[in-house]
Amino acid sequence: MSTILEYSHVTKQFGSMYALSDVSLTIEPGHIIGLLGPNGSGKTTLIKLACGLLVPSSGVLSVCGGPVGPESKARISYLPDKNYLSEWMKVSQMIDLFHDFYDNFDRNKAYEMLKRLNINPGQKFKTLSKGTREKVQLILVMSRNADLYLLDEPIGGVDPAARDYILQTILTNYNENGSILISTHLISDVEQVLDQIIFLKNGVVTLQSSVDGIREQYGKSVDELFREVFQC
Amino acid sequence: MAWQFDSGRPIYTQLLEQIRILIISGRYPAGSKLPSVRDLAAESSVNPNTMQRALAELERSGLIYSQRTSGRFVTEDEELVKKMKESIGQEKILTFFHEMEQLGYGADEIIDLIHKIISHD
Amino acid sequence: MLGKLLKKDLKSTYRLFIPLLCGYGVASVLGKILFEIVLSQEQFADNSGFFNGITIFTFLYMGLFIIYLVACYLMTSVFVIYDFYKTMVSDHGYLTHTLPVKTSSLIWSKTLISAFWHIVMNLIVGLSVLLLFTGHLRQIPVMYILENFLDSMDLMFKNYTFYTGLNAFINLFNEPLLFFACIAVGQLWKNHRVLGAILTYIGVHVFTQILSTVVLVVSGTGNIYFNSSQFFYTGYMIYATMFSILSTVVCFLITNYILSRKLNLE
Repeated sequence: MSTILEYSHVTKQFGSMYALSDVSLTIEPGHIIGLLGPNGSGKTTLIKLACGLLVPSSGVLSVCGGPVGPESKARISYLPDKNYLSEWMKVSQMIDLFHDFYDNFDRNKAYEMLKRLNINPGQKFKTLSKGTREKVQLILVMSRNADLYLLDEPIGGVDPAARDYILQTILTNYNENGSILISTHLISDVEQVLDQIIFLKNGVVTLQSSVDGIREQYGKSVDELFREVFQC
Repeated sequence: MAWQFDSGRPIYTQLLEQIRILIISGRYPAGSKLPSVRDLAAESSVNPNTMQRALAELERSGLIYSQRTSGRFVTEDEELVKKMKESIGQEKILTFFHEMEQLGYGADEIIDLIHKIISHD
Repeated sequence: MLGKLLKKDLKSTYRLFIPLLCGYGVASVLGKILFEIVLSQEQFADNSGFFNGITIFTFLYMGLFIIYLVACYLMTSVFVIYDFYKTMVSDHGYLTHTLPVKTSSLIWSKTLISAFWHIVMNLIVGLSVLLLFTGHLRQIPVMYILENFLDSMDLMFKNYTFYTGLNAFINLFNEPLLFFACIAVGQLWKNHRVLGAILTYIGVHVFTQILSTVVLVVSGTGNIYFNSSQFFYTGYMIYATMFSILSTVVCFLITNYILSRKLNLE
């Protein structure tokens, strides 16, 4: 299988501020990759570029060998760190909308997961708590049979019990030939789910390695190494 | 059984050890079919690739074998399982002796202590 | 995909427009009832205080009704702008712009939905006027008024129905696209993007006014004292139509360019 996502010399500037500087990396199919870095290191920018929500200042991005566009958007399932659910909509209406637009959306899977998490599909989003909305967004994203899942802080706002379920959901629902990129700063919670990691520091990729590679080489966990590399 | 991992060592070696214990303790009896990589990975909340690597190592040691279409099985060679059990038991006892020696116990004293504890139960 | 987008956009604007239009419908019916009472008062030549009160109230009501009518047109534009802003450049844009559709389809859908609601609005206003006069059409010398009106406008509408219609049609697209382009240009601001959109709109408005004045003066069509008014209107209509078409196309291209090549959702 060929590369799913490739950044070559990608730079993103906001005014005079460099959010990403000359990032080159590739993501191959069949991996769960942790995108790790402190706040403001460029994690969200890196992901948004792949979704077409930002346009690079220079450099080239390719998704499954093609440019970012409608075709790539059909292949990428993206969980933003923002709430994009309309207050007035019902959960079931949102499921219909996803079903309408994404050919790879599995409606039954979505309803199954809603049931597991005790979320009533007939409820409107304005009656749901922040944590529940985050769960619904994750369910929508994971119910797609996508080539690449880009999850921006998927476990940030939910309680530890739901966190375990979400990680389970991610592990059991992703497409085996696809890859998942998870950005987070809660490394110890996700470390064993990952097989590769990318360290991002001030918009620069400082390390791309396998989790067990780090443990073998440094004799410490990714979480411990992260604390060492990024200590204040 | 809860799967626990410590931070200093690769996850796949820890998985390998824990699955080995499941086999020699009889949780996965000789000749039985193992769950799929995906199920095992989900059960232990680890990356499927890491689980895959642990199982590959176990295959190399001969404790499990894979059949192309039907999945992975525990070896039917009960002798091998027994031998593996003995060697792990030996390893544990050696570690135990080593720690007791550090406390200043001699071999006879240790055995006496063990007898005492067992008869109390 | 355009069909799916239209369905989505219709659903999200529907809940804004329905209360507005229902309110207008109820207000029309109430107006009709009051109107009938006042007319019956004339018939019975009853000058009692009650009917005088009703007459005053009806006049007040009609005044408020006209304000509501104007507000409906205003709100139609406001809702269109609100929906565009909300779904294209706010947090909801995270969903909109990750749908597997072209940016141009997104803009087309928004434009067509805006045109749709403007047409619906016009139809309903037309129906309400018809309702008001139902039963009295024979009493109103419609044709006489119309002819008088057309004569006084010096053939303007008779001969320029085509241009007037064409302009109204183009404006269905021009108006929303101008708003969309301004919102898009506002996105280029680093901060205060709403303010950016408003300033752009004011800027464009001032520029258009100056440009149209200059064009009219330079081309001589604006010199109303030396030309027959017919000549004036022909020239004016042609320039206005050309300008509307140009403006519509430019607005579409600007919106499409910014939202596809310069998108910076934060």
